[in-house]
Amino acid sequence: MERLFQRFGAGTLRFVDYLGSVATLTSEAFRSLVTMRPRWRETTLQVYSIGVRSLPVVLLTGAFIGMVFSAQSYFQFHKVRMDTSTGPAVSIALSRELAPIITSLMIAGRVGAAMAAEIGTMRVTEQIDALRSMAVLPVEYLVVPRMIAIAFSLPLLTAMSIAIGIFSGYLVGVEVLNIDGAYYLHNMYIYTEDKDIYTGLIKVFIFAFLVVFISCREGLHCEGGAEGVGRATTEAVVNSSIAILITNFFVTMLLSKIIPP
Amino acid sequence: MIEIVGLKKSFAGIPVLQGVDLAVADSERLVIIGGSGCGKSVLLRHIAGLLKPDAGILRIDGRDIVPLPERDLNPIRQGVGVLFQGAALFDSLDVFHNVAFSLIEHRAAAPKEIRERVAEVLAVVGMSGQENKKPAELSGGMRKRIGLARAIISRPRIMLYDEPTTGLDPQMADSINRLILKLSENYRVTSIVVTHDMTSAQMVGERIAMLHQGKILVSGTPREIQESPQPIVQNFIRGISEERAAQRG
Repeated sequence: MERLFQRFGAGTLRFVDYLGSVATLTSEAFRSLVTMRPRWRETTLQVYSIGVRSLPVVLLTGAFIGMVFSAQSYFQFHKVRMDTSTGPAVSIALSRELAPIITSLMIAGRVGAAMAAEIGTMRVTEQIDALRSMAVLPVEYLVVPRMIAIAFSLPLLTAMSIAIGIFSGYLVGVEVLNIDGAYYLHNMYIYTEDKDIYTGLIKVFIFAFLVVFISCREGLHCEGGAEGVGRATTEAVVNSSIAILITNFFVTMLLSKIIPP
Repeated sequence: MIEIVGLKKSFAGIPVLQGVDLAVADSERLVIIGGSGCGKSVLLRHIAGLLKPDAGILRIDGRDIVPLPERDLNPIRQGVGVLFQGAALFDSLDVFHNVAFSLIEHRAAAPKEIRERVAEVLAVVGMSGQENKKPAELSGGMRKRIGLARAIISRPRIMLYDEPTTGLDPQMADSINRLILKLSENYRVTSIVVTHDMTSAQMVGERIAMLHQGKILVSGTPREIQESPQPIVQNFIRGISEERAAQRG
């Protein structure tokens, strides 16, 4: 019994320590954002790496999520002869939940892993120490440009994912499943509101910070050579994904109070 | 002037430094020797401000750097150059940008002057014309030279060398040792070299200090160390293992 309590206590301490290190990194990054000079070159490179290079995978997943959600919605609505409700169902679900979550998880997997691996490798090969020895703060050089880039890119990627998801959902619904195209679009315009889009984009803006701080924290605390880098990469993806899913629930509830659906 | 008083550091409860006392005069060349894992590099990283000790005082030019937060250490770090064991070059940057890194980051010079200073330090380390190469294209010795060029470009007053000859062939090691001497003599920098290579220690050291069991066991000129009556020192410089020393009685 005593051992059980010890394990629980040690686990709790590790968790609190982990949260503390992420919070410290977050506060350091926001402080640096105010105090440091802009690093346009690094930030532009990160926008390219995070935003532009993620575009194919985000568009592909967005398209197929839109297609499958359109088909599934149609199968259910068809039972009660409400086929044309498929349009608004697809657009609202994509705008509020599916595109933000899927895009954020894809970015956590692709970009979060890359951040943890790159910074982790720098850590184990003393490059982080070299930065510090040259009076350059790793947070300013490595974290802040990534933070700006992902906060800028993720909402844009999500907006593109929503757009292609709706378009591909329309193609499946109208061209494949023979829903009346005019009613499909009409109902979609009527029932989809601006706030559906806003809430989705506000959520991914928050998820962007979760991905960057969790992934950079894993890289900066990486230890133990190649094995450590591998561990940091896995932890970055797993922890970012869990944090996105948990935060999504609470942010959704909070936003429903501020912007009623 | 670097003064270290009662420096202690443990990792996961295992003591590494157990009260190091050491003073290094301006322009002095000190070599710290000791067996693998005795804490030489840990001591060097404390002097570079990269690690915080558990206890003790570390003064650089009279100012204790131990209580300083990370951001306040930066002005002191700008006066200290570090050559890391693996050179720690930035993989994503070419040689020019690696060497010019601190000047560019701190906007310490105009672009034209940066180009001139990069060319100057690359000439000093015998690597002229290598500006466009990536670190992955360089050999171990070349990486060390570039690391050295990067460390000296900001004209530091203190140079710290972490195992500068480890992993190099004897000729390249000799070449690096000569560079350390040349930099010390030409620029009058205070040099601290951590090594377990006795040839290197004898060649570059004006004074040698031996770290053993987390403390400075002995300190003196290369000749004094060579003639030290202490068995631990003699076993180390002659390369006699603890097992062989025990067998000899």
